[in-house]
Amino acid sequence: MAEQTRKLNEDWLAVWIGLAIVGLSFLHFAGVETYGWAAKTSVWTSIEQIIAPVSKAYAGLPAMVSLLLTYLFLLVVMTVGAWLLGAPLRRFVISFTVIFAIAYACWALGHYAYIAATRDKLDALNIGWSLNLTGEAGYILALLAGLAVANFFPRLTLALQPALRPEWYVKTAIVILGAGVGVKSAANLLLARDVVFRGLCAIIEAYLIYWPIVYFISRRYFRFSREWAAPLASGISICGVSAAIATGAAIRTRPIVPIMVSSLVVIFAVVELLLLPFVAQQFLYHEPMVAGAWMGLAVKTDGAAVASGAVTDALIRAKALGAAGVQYAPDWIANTTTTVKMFIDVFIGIWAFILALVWTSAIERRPGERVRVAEIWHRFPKFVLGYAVAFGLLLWVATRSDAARAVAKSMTSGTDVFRQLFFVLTFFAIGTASNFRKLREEGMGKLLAVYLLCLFGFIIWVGLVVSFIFFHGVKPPTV
Amino acid sequence: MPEDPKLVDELQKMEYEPLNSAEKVLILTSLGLGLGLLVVFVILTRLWPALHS
Repeated sequence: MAEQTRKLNEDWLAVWIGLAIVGLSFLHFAGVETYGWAAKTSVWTSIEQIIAPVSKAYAGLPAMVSLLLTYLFLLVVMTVGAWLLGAPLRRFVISFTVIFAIAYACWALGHYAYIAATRDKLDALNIGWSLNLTGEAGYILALLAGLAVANFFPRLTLALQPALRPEWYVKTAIVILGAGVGVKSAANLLLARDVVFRGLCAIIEAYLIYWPIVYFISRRYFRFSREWAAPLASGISICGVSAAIATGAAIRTRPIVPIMVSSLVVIFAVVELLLLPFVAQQFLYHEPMVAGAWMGLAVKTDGAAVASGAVTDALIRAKALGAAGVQYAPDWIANTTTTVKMFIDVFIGIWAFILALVWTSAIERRPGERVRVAEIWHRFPKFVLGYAVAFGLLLWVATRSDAARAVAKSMTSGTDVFRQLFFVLTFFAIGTASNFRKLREEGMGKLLAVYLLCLFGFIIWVGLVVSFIFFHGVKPPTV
Repeated sequence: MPEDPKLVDELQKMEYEPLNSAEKVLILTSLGLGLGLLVVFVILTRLWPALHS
């Protein structure tokens, strides 16, 4: 994309936008329902049930006005962000509008009762059956819509590029998610602490086991050079695009190497996103937190991993309710995925630093070259700070008193609307980044072979074992 | 990009560079540390206040 001089990057923007959205919600303490007008989407059987304002105080607001206000709010916020990114504003406004329209249509369709309703709601909705997918089916529909656009309408994909920013959207969603997790954690501090500790253990294990095996296989059996093998190992085994780029920079590869690896990572992240949540639903509904951690360890790229956590959360809760009569509290599974993924992101900087150190001191000695510790900060994903601040603030608020917790809950019911919309935008944007024609291109075969072998041969399964070791028996609270 | 014939050639005809000792150390250290820490972490999680329902 032809962008002007960047005044901020997407990572920092996600922090500021996410915190601004959360920060505005503190007006609740002054009696102002900041996002009471925002469009909440519900499971529906007739069109007038789809949209309603979040707050009952705005019950008189027509649904379309609520949706229009929600769109305008996001448009203004994201256009300011696009300006700070140096993006072409007119094209951004148009493409964001198109993306929002498609993504929201998918989100609304995903809430259709025959698709979304869980079994306990069938009688209330007066329907005899449903696919039991919950409203998060809208994410899958947005992903499929994105895939269709990318693969059948390449010119439209090109025209939408200024607003196709999955990493920006998902990082903003994660910062907002921090607020919701803070409120939920206030009710269950011990479990929240446990998830963080076990998540940290799981990702250290994944890093140390995945990377050397992928690197060894790439070098020994596929005969990749060091320049290719290291970004490939990081891309396949750690966190996709960011890890491949960080490793490429750390060992000084040509820019094209991590780009090639990243294109494969994105395509396979979509395949994983479409498959793994349904596998988890079938086989791990009795171990929901294992499933959440597994998504974080197995699905590459932040967007796809957190998105798969959200889908897994919905699918498993629906399955557990139907098969075992257990109603788990929402978002704990998705939060486990997010926690694991965030630790992975944090460690990308550390791992890149270690690789740079090893490369410059032992593998490709460069006289006079020194690795700066500041590189760790440079690589540190800043949106994690936004998540931590939002989490800490709401946790602090929600532990003050019962009244404060009630206000905090109503705050996050408003911010959740935007979190979900950022997720839907993420899914659509991920889909558009996945052009399967790339897989057929000559020269990708060898990369594809090592990716397939490592991902489906052991990464998914080692991730499952590691998740099981650290999370089995840990259950979300029930409601 | 894949369209670049030089890159396609490079991927297809890449010459094998044998693993050197530093790479072997990196691989073995990482794996060894991973397996060692696995034991430590499993013990720690057993000591951690369990939330098994």
